[in-house]
Amino acid sequence: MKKRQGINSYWRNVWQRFRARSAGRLALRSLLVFVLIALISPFVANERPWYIKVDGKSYSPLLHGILVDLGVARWPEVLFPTEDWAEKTHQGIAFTLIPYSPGSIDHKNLNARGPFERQRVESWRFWHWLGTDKTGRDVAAGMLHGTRMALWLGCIMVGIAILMGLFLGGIAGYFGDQGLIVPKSRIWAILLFLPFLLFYLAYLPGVAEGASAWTRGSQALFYLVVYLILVFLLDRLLFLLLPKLGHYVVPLDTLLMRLLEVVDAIPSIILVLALIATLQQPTTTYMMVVVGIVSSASVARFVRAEFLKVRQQTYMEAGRALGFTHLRLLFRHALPNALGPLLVLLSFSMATAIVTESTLSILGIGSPDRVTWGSILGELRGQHQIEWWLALFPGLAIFFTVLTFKYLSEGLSEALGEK
Amino acid sequence: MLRYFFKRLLLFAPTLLVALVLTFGLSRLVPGDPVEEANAEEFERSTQSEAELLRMYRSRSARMGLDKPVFYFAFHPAAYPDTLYKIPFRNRREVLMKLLRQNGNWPAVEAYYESLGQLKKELQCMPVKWNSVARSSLGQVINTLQFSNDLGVAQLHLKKMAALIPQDSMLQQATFPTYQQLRKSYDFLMAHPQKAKLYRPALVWQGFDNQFHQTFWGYLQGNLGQSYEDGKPVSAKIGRALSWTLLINIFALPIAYLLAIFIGVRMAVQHGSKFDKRTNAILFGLYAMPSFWVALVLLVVFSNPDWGMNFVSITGMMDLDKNSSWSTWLSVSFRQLIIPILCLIYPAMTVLTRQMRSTMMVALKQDFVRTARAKGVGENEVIWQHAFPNAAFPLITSFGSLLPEMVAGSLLVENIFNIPGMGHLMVDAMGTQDWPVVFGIMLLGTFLSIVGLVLVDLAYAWLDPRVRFDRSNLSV
Repeated sequence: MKKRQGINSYWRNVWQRFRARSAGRLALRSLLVFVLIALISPFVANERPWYIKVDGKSYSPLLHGILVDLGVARWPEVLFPTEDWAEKTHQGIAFTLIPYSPGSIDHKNLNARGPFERQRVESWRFWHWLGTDKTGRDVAAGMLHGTRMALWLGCIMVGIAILMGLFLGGIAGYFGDQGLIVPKSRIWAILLFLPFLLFYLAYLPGVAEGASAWTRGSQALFYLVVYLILVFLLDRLLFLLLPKLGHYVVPLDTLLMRLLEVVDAIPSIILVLALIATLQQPTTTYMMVVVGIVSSASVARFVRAEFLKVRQQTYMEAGRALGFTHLRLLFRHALPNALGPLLVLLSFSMATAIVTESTLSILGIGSPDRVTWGSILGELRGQHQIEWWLALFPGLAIFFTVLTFKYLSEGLSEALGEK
Repeated sequence: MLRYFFKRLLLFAPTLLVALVLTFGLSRLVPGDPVEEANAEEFERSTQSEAELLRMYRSRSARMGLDKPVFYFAFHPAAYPDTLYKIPFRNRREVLMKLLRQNGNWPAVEAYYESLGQLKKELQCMPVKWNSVARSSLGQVINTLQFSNDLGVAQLHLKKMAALIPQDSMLQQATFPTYQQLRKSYDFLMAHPQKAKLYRPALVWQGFDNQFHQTFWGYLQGNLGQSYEDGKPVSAKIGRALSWTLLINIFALPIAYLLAIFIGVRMAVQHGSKFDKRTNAILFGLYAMPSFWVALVLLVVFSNPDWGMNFVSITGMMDLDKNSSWSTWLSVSFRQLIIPILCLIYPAMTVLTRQMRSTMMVALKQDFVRTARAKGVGENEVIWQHAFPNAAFPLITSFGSLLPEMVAGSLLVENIFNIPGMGHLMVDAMGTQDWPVVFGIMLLGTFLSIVGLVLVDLAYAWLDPRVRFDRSNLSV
């Protein structure tokens, strides 16, 4: 009970120090605004109206559409075969604030109409407040959806980078070169069965063609479990037969660091592009997964350095002396103490993720299946005339998001006493 | 020093080696068939007759060295054939593999697929005047079957064939025996599956004459293969592009460093002053401003004839050709490159300046600085002779990470300003799926950044003798 209180008061202190600085407060508030925009964007910018009355019956295409996207309901195609809502005969209709979806094309305002240029709209209600892009999509709707995408893609990238980096860097830093001592019998068992495990995982014999990811995953898990059981049995057997076999000290740190060195040696954007080249369907989400994997190398390096520091602390020594298991030491003692710097890194990486996504979009890499800030900016590439609204709004949005996350990480690192 | 140099070099050799292997592995994972892509025009022009297509594919793939096994050995199910790589067309190879994965009996699968091909050939050999509805629909069914990987569905198609062939007497005459053979091979295939063989791994030695061996020696000799686009050697293409990338970086890097040193040192010396605070705020703003956006805005501003600032042309360096005189060449490239270079300088400069400021502040608080001041050494000398050399080490370290970053930065800037450098080439090559160029650039980028790391290590050792003589450093 007492220990819990101790942890709480540490984070309360950090929180108070964080709030004491106006920059940190401001950054947090603007982050909340971004999150709010991301959450409400489908309700603000949507071509489907909130409410429509056809033949005396009331419908809400917007809410219905969201249910359809969730897979709960089916779109009433008989009733609403087209999405030209304004042209539909109705007795009453209520549009959202911006009556356009991020991907919907306004055929009357193609080729990038600016906000102050002449737009062919029926009334001010359908005015494109931030203009349209070359294909006639509304920029305001795209900007709102872009906020959603930026945060979502940032979370994907940072999530993967942090998880992978935490795992690799964590075990490298925690065990070091001397920390991991494994019985020889176990190493032999692992190495002996490893080629077979890789074989069965790579070919998955017995899985039908075109099987779902579920079936494949469960089959792979099955092979993994069989592998672990076999390793365990062989390890026991060897131990019984040759009890005085001894141990290997696994230089885990050196091994992992040499691996990271290779990843570091390849310029990251080039590596990302080369990896994207191997994707069958380079959608934006897959691309961010690739970016996450590549940037996990630098996270791993950072986590390793933190864990090496933590490893030297006396409380870790005490834990080891008390005979705590590796897992307990890692998760209960080392990880909470490395959490602060990790938070700083997390916030910093979000900024990098958003910039990376925009960079890839501007370069025209992958298939632009989603409207993002970067994809709006990317429309400017190779243009002969300027469309200032296509440069200004997404640019400002990226600038402020990046600034927010950078202030957040600065504020956090100061509150944590890193500087 | 020389000894240290070689030790460092040796340390980086395995890194380069692994990067080479990784590059090769990735280059085999890209979607599409390299033989078809490299000779796309020829394949389109060909008469589409089965026999000719196969002959053409075989000869082209032999020329590209792709008719060899991929690696020294293969580790695959015992059911798989040893000569899979010899089967023409990647999509057919994949269909065959999928059929095999369901059945496990390779000779039977091969016989079935070959009689399917035979049927197609015979259908195409029939004189044109015997054209009929049944004939064209039979051709369609055969085409579907060739790319169908479901043996159950295949049975339906075979039944459809059996119904189609008797509709036309000529068709029956020409194709019925082969159809019967196909039917027989299908029945045999379904009756004799060998699924157990799919579960049994087999390790097969494939000899030294393989794609990896060939490509790897090519890489080591600087031969990066041929571009799919125009058949020119990749190294020549990259070499031309590299000169542009190096040109803009040769200007950008030293200027970024010089600016960072002077501003950073001044900020540290006048720590807490108005200059320090203002510059810090500006730097933070610049730091948050993504360089691609700055580049886009600058391009938009400086390329617009309406605003009277027709300074940069959108088409970039493409305006130049071989015939233009050196003076126009110089003036055009100066005009075109000054803004891209600015866009490269400022992100590097902001990072370096902040770093310089913080390390310089630490250095100025050291005892030896106080001692120097107490001795009566002039302020300038204290700063530049005593404090600065000690504060400069992190700047050298960041050179190692800055070099790849500059490559990345120039990738963007080159694409926005249309400079025909390496980044431009890479993105172009990705668009046209010219994989040898993409992976060639990946290798070169890796090589350059490793060179950068070696240089950093050497500079360290040269400036700080402790590094050179530290035994533990050598043995790492």
